[in-house]
Amino acid sequence: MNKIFLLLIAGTLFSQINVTPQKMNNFQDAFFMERKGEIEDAKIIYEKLIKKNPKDRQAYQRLKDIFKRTEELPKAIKLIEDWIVIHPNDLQAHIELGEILYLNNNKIKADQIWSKFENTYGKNQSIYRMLLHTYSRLSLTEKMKELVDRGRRKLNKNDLLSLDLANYYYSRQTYDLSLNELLLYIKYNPANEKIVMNKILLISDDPQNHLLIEKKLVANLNENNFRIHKLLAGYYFKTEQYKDAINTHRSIGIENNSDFKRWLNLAENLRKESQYELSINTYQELLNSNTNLSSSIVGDALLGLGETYEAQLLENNFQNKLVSFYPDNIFFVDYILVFNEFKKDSLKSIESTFNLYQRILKELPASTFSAKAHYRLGELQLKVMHDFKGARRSYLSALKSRPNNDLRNNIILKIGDTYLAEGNLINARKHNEKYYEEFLSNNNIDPFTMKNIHLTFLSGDIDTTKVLIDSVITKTSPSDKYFNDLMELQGIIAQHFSFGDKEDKEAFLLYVKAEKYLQEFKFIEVIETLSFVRENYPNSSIIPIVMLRECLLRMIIDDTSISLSIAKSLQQTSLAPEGITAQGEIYEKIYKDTDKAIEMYNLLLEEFPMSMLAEPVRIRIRQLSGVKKS
Amino acid sequence: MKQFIYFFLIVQFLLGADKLLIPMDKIQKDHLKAYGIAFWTLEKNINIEWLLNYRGGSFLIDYYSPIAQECRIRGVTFQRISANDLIDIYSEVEKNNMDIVLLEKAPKIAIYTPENKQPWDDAVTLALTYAEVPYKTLWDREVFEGELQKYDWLHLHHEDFTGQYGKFYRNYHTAQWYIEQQKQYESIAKELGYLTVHEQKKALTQLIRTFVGNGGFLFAMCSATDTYDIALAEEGVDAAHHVFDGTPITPNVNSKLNYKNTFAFTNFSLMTDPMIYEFSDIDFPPSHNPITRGAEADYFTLFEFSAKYDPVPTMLTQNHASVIKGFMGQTTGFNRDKIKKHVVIMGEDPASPQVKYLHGNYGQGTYTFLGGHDPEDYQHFVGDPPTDLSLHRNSPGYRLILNNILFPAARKKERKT
Repeated sequence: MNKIFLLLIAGTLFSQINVTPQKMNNFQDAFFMERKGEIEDAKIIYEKLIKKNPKDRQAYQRLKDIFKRTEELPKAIKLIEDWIVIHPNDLQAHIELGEILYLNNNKIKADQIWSKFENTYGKNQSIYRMLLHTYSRLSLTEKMKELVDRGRRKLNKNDLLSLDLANYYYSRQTYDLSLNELLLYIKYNPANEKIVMNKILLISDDPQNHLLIEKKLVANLNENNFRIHKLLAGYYFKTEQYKDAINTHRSIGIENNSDFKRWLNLAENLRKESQYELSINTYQELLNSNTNLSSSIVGDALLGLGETYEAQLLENNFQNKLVSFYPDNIFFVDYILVFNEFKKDSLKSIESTFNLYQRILKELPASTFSAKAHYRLGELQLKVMHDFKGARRSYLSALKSRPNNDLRNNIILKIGDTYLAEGNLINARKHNEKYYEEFLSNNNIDPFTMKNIHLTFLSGDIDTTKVLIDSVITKTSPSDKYFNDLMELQGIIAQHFSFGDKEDKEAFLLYVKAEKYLQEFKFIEVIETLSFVRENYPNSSIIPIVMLRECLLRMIIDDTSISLSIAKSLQQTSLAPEGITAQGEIYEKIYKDTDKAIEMYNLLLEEFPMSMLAEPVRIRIRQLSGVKKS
Repeated sequence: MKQFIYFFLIVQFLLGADKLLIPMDKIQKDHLKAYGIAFWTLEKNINIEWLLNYRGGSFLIDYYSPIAQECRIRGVTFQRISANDLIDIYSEVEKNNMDIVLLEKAPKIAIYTPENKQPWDDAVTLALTYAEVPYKTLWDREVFEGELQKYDWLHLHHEDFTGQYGKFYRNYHTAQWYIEQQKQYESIAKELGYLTVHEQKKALTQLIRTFVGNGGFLFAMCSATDTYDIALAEEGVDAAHHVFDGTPITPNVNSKLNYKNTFAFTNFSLMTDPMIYEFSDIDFPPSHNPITRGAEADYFTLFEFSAKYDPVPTMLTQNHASVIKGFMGQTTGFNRDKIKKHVVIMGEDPASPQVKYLHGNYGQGTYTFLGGHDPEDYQHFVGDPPTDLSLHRNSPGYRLILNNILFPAARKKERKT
């Protein structure tokens, strides 16, 4: 008997069948059927589930959606009515019932449902929002407006759903009404100024709306709400009416700290838009406006003013160059560019800039601005005045003034550059080595490593340079910002030194010497050295690169005839596309001979249609042809 | 004997002159600008041989260096062809389903468009502008003044010839552009002597029909296709709801449509409810309930025609791809059941009732209808930015549009007997 009992227990334990809940399984089945497009079968299952359990929300939702999609609206109505009986407080269901009645062309009953809903539950904003969104789906614009009017009266909230309505009108491109609602919204929600500003600026994307926006904003200025002034100023700025923007800002006043910050922002933005004169005037107006300006405001204004002067000084006329020498490569930066594109009144600008920074240092001796001011002074002394010792003093002062990390790194690198500019490679390398270990990173290439490589290269120790580059490249990802620069330098070294013969190596080392002279701002020596290489090593592999460098440098210092002749010779080398294009640029920009320039550009397209220069040259031809026709 | 020698010398002379081939297969860098080059060449009174079905419908021109230069400037791939290569090309054309059509004269192109900017863009205008093909615009006033006769080719795009303002009533009737458009249309109708916009538009379609009958070429896209035919069929009936014209719709309007007047469509039923964004059941899929496969799975196929015996549809379907991405529009495609039997179907979705591209004759002229709004913008909404065609230089969809502008320049090459 015991054995039988044991057997029975064992049998029960081992013979259990895994049973999943029937209801869940059916819902899932129905759902998958729906997904597969077997709508009728899915419907049957959902109906069964609801019949079994009228409170089954999932089945109710799915079935309702199916009825709506397949436009079986009477069935949907019945379903929702039954649901409301069981769930009378399901607010969404009431609204949906009205919606489906409306879609089923029973507009009167839909209205009745919605009215009853509003009267019963319309005690807060959410209810009105639910109704508004339903009306918006059905494009019942008039009903929306009436609803909002009623809601505003009933809840005594004048800006009820103003943002929602503004968005609705915006989506329907009814910008007039959208602006009305936005202005109403900002009147009662001043903290959300940014949202309104962004919306208005979006509306202003279409020039046809400009008049409308301006009229609306100006008409509302009398509300004495300075936020409208700010919106108007923002609109003027966006539409490049800068003077109007400044005047509007002025009308708000320059009295308290928030005004000062607003002016600083305006001045900075004007500088970013290359409106240098206006930016300078704005900074000066701020500085002259109030004797109680805090030191931080003064410092920001002075620094900003200095930056604007510098930007004005260095505004680049050669911005649309077609041919460049290893553009954006940190090893081949053209400081000569910085020097020679001065405008006529640049001396005055230099003087103003210097005075500004001196003023900062005098008025704000121990402030956060000191570091920046010293640094900017140093930059001017290094790049513009070529006062290398003076620059170093300024950089060192900047370093002592507790700059932030990024600025500190830049300052350290620039100190090294002052040694390099003096021709003192040893000191430059010693200086760099102090910081090189500190910043060594396994993941990214740091600027001190790059500087180390650059200095090694300029010293003429090409083999060590190669080893350094190889060791760095193998550990770095191609997405690193310096990766490309290293690859290019590696390529030059490999092609013209490592695999070159004795003559190639000699020529290469002389070329490196020229690059070193460039870092020392010895422009005449650079050109003479490059010229020497060109004349004395005509068969060396580096010649095309040397010729291109020399041609571009001579273009900048207006040594045009030789530049042109070098460019012509370049046509016989591997850099022929650059040679042809450079000739085109010389004719275009220096000789102002458009016809000849177009002739050269066409020659490029004919002989080197696959060159990287083909597309920019094509655009240039069209621009010049357009100019010629007009 | 002498005659033979002269003939031989002349042939040698002709064959000795180089040719310039603009290939239109996948090696072409810019198919759309290639049409522009062809047009530019025709304007210089230089003939072009359109090699139908040869390397995607390539162009063969006598070699002149200015043409080569212009190709370079516009970024169009071309090859200089010697006499020997030319013989090979002709031989290949002769042996295969290919033919040569001579393009002789640049057609004068007109685009029907209102004066003010509309909040949507016209794919044909974009194509012509990108390809640098000159065109003029005209609108109702000019059509009623008889200016259509100055042109060879007329394009209609996203228009509504039924006088229902594009059926945008539901979503946009409070939008400024909609209100202004309605005022503008009503003003023009009144100026031209009509009480309602739909009456004036119907009269306009009659004038366009006359233009085609007299030898004009009509190309229509998007809603201009079905609304044009609907307007022709609505002769004598008012199918516009009173929100559009203040008068009720003619009772049983669908039974009073005259399908004999239409170009391409028949047996269709109108959707007159202003709250429904659709004109009739010609459109497939319907705009108010657009169930589509989505941009990744929506394609249509071009038919292949006999180049030698059906040169016209062959010209109109020249392409480097035979399966083309679909694109929606207010009128996306045409319901196969609503198309008249004599119409030539050139492109369709084989998995649905949708016909995308069709062509037919009327009188001495022809018409071509292409469903959809913009071949490179799957769903273009009101207010969307225009397509930048420099990013779609090889668009097969846009090639269909540009085939239509060259086709009027064609004269079939005499076949040797």
